[in-house]
Amino acid sequence: MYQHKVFNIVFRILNDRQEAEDVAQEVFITVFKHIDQFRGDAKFSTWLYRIATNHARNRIKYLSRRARKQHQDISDTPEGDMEVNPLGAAVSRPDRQAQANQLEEIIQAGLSQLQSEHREIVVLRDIENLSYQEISEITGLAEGTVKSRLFRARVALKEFVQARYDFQEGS
Amino acid sequence: MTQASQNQDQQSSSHGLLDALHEEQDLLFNAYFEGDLTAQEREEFETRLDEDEGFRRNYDEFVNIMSGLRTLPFEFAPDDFVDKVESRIRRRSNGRFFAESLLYSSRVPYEVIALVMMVVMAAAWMLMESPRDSGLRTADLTIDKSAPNQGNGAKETPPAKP
Repeated sequence: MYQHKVFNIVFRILNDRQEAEDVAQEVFITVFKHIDQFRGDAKFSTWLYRIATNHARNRIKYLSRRARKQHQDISDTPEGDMEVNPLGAAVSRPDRQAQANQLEEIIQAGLSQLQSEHREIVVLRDIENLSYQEISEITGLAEGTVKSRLFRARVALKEFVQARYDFQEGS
Repeated sequence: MTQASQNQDQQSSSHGLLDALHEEQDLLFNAYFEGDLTAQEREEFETRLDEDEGFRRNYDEFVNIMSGLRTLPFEFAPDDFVDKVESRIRRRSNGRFFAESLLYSSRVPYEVIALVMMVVMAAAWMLMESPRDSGLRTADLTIDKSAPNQGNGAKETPPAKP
């Protein structure tokens, strides 16, 4: 049902299971509190995903603020369109890296290094396979902006992966 | 202008040209992948894919990355997810919502059962102790001395004539 969909979206945006679970729970509490505000103009899933992406975005901001406050080390990324993800550390956990496919790991790492507004569009379009119109309704952006952000995000992701994965040798 | 600065200018302009070419290629890949090209543009793109090996390789890499994104494993919410949401709502609403029902409680509510039993027993005792014939209380038991033939003096209604 919806809890899995919401959890998957939030997990892909945050790249951390614990944070994703906490945020996904908050999403359903918000739905419970504000269900009377759902007017039925859009699909329920669109309304739900809008709440989910807003919560995920707010969590990223909160974690970034907290990370800055704690003076944590910030790793440099060569890509211009990349930003420091406070949850990025989770990507390099050796147990997960060993278990999962390497390309998949690199893609997830690249995804988590994208700017948050780019990342959520990639998640909605390329992972959840939503239409531009739905993404536009969820994010409140014009379709043209969605398309251009998606393009920038894909280019940044491609550069990130190509710098770390040799497609000829498969590693 | 010195030779060194001329070389620097040439290098930066060639970098800029390369960047522009890369960006144009990325735009093409993206548009083809999204199905945004016209029929003629698509045909030209496919011809180039067939003829230009480097172009083909770059496009294949782009497609591999896009496919990798689409095939990332679906992450399921934990099994106790709904319970946790209900518990949060219950806690924040001070038990107004999703309060645990006694009927479905896993623990037998002995104290409630004991209280109910005591109330039932008290009610039963009160019912048993109360007089069965309420008419006895209201009967007129005064002795009428002016009526000698009537033994107990209680007022009696004359028997009905046959």
